[in-house]
Amino acid sequence: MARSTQADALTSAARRPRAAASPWLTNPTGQLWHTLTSVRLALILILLIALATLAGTLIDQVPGSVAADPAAYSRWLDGAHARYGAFTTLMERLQLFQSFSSIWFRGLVALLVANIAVCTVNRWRGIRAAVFSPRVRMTAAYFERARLRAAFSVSADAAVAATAVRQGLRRAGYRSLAQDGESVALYADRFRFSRLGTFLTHLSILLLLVGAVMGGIWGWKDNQFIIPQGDTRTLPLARDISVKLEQFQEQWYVEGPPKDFASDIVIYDGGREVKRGTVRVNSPLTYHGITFNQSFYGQVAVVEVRDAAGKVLFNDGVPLAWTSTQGKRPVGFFDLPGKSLKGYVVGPEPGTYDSTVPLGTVRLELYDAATSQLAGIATLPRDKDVQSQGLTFRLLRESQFTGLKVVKDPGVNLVWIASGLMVLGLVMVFWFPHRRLWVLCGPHPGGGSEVRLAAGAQRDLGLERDFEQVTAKVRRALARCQQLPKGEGPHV
Amino acid sequence: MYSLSQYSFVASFVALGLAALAYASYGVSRRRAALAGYAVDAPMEGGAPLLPNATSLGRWGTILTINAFAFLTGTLAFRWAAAGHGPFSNMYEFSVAFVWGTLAVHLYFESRYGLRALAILVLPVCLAMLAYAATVSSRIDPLVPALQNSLLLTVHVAVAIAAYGAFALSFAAAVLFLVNREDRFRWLPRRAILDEVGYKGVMFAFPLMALVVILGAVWAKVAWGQYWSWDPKETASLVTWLIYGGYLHARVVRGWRGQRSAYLLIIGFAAVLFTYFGNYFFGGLHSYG
Ligand code: HEM
Repeated sequence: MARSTQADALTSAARRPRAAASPWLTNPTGQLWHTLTSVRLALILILLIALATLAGTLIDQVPGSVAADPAAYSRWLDGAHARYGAFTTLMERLQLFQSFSSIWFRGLVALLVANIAVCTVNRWRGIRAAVFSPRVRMTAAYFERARLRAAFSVSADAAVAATAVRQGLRRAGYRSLAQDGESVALYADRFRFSRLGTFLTHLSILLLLVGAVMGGIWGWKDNQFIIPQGDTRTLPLARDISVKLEQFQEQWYVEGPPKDFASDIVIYDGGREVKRGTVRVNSPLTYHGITFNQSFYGQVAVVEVRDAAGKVLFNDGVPLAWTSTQGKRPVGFFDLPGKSLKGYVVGPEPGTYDSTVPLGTVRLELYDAATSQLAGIATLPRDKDVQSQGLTFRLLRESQFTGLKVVKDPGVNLVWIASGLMVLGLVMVFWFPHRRLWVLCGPHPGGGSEVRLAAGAQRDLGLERDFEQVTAKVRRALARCQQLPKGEGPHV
Repeated sequence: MYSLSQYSFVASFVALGLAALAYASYGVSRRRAALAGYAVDAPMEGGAPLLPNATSLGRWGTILTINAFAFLTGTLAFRWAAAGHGPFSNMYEFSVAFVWGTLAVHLYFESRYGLRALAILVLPVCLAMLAYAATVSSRIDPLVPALQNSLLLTVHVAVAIAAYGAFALSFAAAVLFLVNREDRFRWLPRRAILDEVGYKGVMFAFPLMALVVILGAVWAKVAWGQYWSWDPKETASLVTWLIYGGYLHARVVRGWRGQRSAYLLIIGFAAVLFTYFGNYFFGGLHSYG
């Protein structure tokens, strides 16, 4: 079971004995485990996920709020049809418009998780052995064949030479382990904990996904939490909490672009003030794990509606938070209690001269709530009564609203911890790679002793340089020990 | 300050152009030397009898590149002083910084491994990038609110630049690896070395790229409220990182060593460029490259 993944990866299908029955039939769990230890599978999964993610960036994705609303979704699909033509239906079936929440994307990620988990368990022993109980004595053949080799003859005997070698190794930043015998064997390495970096990296990916899933299950978000200036609104998804906008401020550079948007808000929990502060872009406010971010802002028309008897039916700020399809005018709406009418308030198009909706006025459109038929249109100048449908409308004043993005995500801290572990793991693996070498100090046939160093299986330029430096240090240490009377090498 | 920065840019452009010429002639002259039977084995040139003009052309290439690098440092530093924030807030600045990072990594590798030949490819990429920078507006505009987080802005982009520079180098190594099939061009570095250099570049850049994606997520959390919202730019940088992750695992699988992993390096760099020029392909909340 505990086959090395690497060895597995190197075994091609052709070299495996051709069994009569597929191992999937004779030993399905074993075969499943075996498949999940494969680095080739990991490689393919990673590339497939990259490809799927790329598709998700190139293909238009349905915004979450649209996907949740069937009518809006079908309108969105009509739009997509204009772009993707006959493929639209197929793409819809394949969930290509919602790639990141599609079954196949989740399936790939789930497979990757299983793959990483199995790999990690499977490789743990090998890593532990390499870090904590490395092999100290290599065969003589290794010292003949290793890619990087060096040899010195010294007059001192093996034990003294070994002591000097260890000193040289320590100077080069290597720790060493010794095994005495007829000849002294040394194993030296540096950054051995680097090996744990791969483990840490893989673990961090799992933690990251756990954090993301936690956020998906226990978190929520409201992308459009709108508060008119001076008003207090309750969070639709956390009804104990309400937020008051004391003031909204915008600042512009003289050159034209926006400089700052800031909302002074007060947060109430169960009616009690619990927090007060300013939310601006790049500086959110957090209460109880709920973050409030500045997202957008706009105009508010404070409208009053009276019936024929003069009774006030409606008096509130209408945030013009939407945009009309023609002319890009800001639009807001309100319901009239007791009347089957819906009122739309349209502001002037910003930045241009708007002849339909002159500056300083808003346009009122009344629709039948049941049939969506247009029932009346009027222009409301400030502070003037206007009659329509037997009702009196008045634009009292204009002010501003702020649009906050409110997010609760209980997984976010885990995500940051996992991110930290990932960077730590990667830095360990790649910037402080585990380097090791072996030394054999044995008696020389012609007297004195012979010191041989060897390292390296794969090509590794860094190891080559390291090996040169270490060899130089060892040479210097050995030279020093040669100058001492025989048998009196430096004792460490 | 602003005009100093502009002069510096022009000087750097000229120096880089000359350096590219010098390196190109260096390549040609190495090739002649190789055909004439001189030993031009990479990586270290020292010791090998080489046509003298190849060596001196190469040295000129290096000197000019160092000059271009110094001028580019000036471009960024003067701009930083003039704007009062890290020069990473629009396509012009980001392009200049990209070239700066690539040259820095290249000079490091050249001095460390003596691989001049990579410059034959790296410098034209840099030159194209600078030419692109010259076509976009270099005005210093005030920062829109989303970019007014100078610590995150500076670190996020600075790390990205280092990573992209190293990926550019890996790309050059991979292309030369594929060109030099069976080591038939003796004037180019040997394949084994190119393979190794490609890997070294990724070793340096992969942790940085992870940091870029993570810092992007931190910033997204601070500025937009959500650390991940599949914003195209975010997603593209994740794809880039995954491709290099694929490359790293490919090196463990025997059948994928060398040839196929070199293709992955090329695809990876294409993803870098896609991420970089991303806002020309898709919308999204990033206000620049
Ligand atoms: C997105 C997912 C993954 C990432 C980002 C990732 C990252 C890494 C990194 C950075 C390394 C070190 C590479 C090196 O030392 O050159 C590594 C090595 C390794 N990974 Fe992954 N990994 C992922 C998924 C997997 C999976 C699913 C497996 C399961 C087979 C796996 C198996 C291995 C193995 C066996 C090694 C060791 C290679 C060696 O010892 O040389 N990885 N991985």
